[in-house]
Amino acid sequence: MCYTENMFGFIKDGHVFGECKRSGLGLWECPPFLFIVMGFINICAMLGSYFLASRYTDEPMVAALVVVSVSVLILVIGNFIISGFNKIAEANLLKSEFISIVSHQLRSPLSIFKWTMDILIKESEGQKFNRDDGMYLNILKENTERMIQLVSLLLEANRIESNRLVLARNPIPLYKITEDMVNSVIWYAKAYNVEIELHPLLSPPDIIGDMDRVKMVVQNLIDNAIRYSRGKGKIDVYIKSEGRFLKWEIHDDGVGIPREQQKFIFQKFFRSDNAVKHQTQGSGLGLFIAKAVVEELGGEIGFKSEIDTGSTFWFTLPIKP
Amino acid sequence: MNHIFDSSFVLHVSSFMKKILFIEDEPALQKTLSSAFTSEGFEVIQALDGETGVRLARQKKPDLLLLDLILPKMDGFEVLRQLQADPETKSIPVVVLTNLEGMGEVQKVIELGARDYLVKTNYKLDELVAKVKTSLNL
Repeated sequence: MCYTENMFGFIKDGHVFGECKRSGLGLWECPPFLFIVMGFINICAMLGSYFLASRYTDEPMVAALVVVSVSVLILVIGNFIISGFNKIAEANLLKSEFISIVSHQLRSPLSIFKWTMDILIKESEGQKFNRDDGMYLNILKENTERMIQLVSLLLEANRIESNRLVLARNPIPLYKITEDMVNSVIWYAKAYNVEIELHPLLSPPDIIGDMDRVKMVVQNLIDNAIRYSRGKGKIDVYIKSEGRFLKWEIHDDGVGIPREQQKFIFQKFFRSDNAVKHQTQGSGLGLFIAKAVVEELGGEIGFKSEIDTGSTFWFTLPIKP
Repeated sequence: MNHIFDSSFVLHVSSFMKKILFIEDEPALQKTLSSAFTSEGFEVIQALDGETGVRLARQKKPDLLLLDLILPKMDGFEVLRQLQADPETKSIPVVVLTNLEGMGEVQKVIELGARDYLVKTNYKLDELVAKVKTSLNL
């Protein structure tokens, strides 16, 4: 979509603000809005320069010339500024659309992979293949799953960026979700030589949130704690009531985050130097999404970390009233 | 995959079979999904575009419809609209099976009368079969 073509359309339809919001742009970054502002500035400048000019000269021609040149100057500068913003806005929009199209187009063949693999694996379980074939199929299946997850993360990050993240708000058993998740990763943790423990909480209350998204946050934080362990470690998960909120906390004694990079940790695609060195896989999207989800649901998220000692990540979500 | 199913067996049970109409333009998906459902004792009718889908829904009266949203000739939303407008096909439960997952699409499809909305990559074949069985009360 080209902003310049649609500029007058926006103004005519009175959709200036809505269209800017949909594009994920702030008001002062939005070309159609800036266009209107520049118009006002130009009118004021013309009137101002007319009064000033007529005060200092009696020649109407000179006054008119001053007004025209001031107006043309503002028009030219304004045009440069707006076309700059236009380019940024268009690039931003194109980027979002690009990710969205790529993600959807990638998903189609991925679902074919996934389902074909399901059939083949089912057949291999019926002894139609030898054992090695079954193993190779499982490798393919796991990696298809990884690709699917990455595409889903990209789509989710894209939705967050363009303000299209819509969350359900239902009562959710956060403790139960965590318990199930911890149980499902016990073997995975063992492979990393890490022990994981969820500390019990008596009659845990439900929180208000979006089931799939909250699961994703919990899974992401647990997954990080395991993957960035240094081997032979312990991970502790605590859930506590704190006023109107439940506080979920995970403590590990893993690689930690370098102090100077801590401020970037929730940024999209950011991975700390030692994280990249320690674990080559990772999209750098998990924490970006986690922060957006938790904050959208009215909670907070944060962490404490020391390099080579470990990290504690926590988030809060409102308890069901 | 056809060697799993003896054709005489298919003929034998066909009168008890639940009929599923699968509207999807991707032949590979048609193949995998059909083979999963036939092995579970369903009869699968395939349609590769929206228009054929609507025609087959009227002709064959399936017990359930699996519908993709991005389709040639007529998109999934229009298919839903036409089926809902026709008293003969109105009661056929429709499960939308797609990779679009915007909140807008989900809402639109449910408003148009679809029973369920499933994102393809989020489901294993087994889980999909289980979902369809629940929709058919099997």
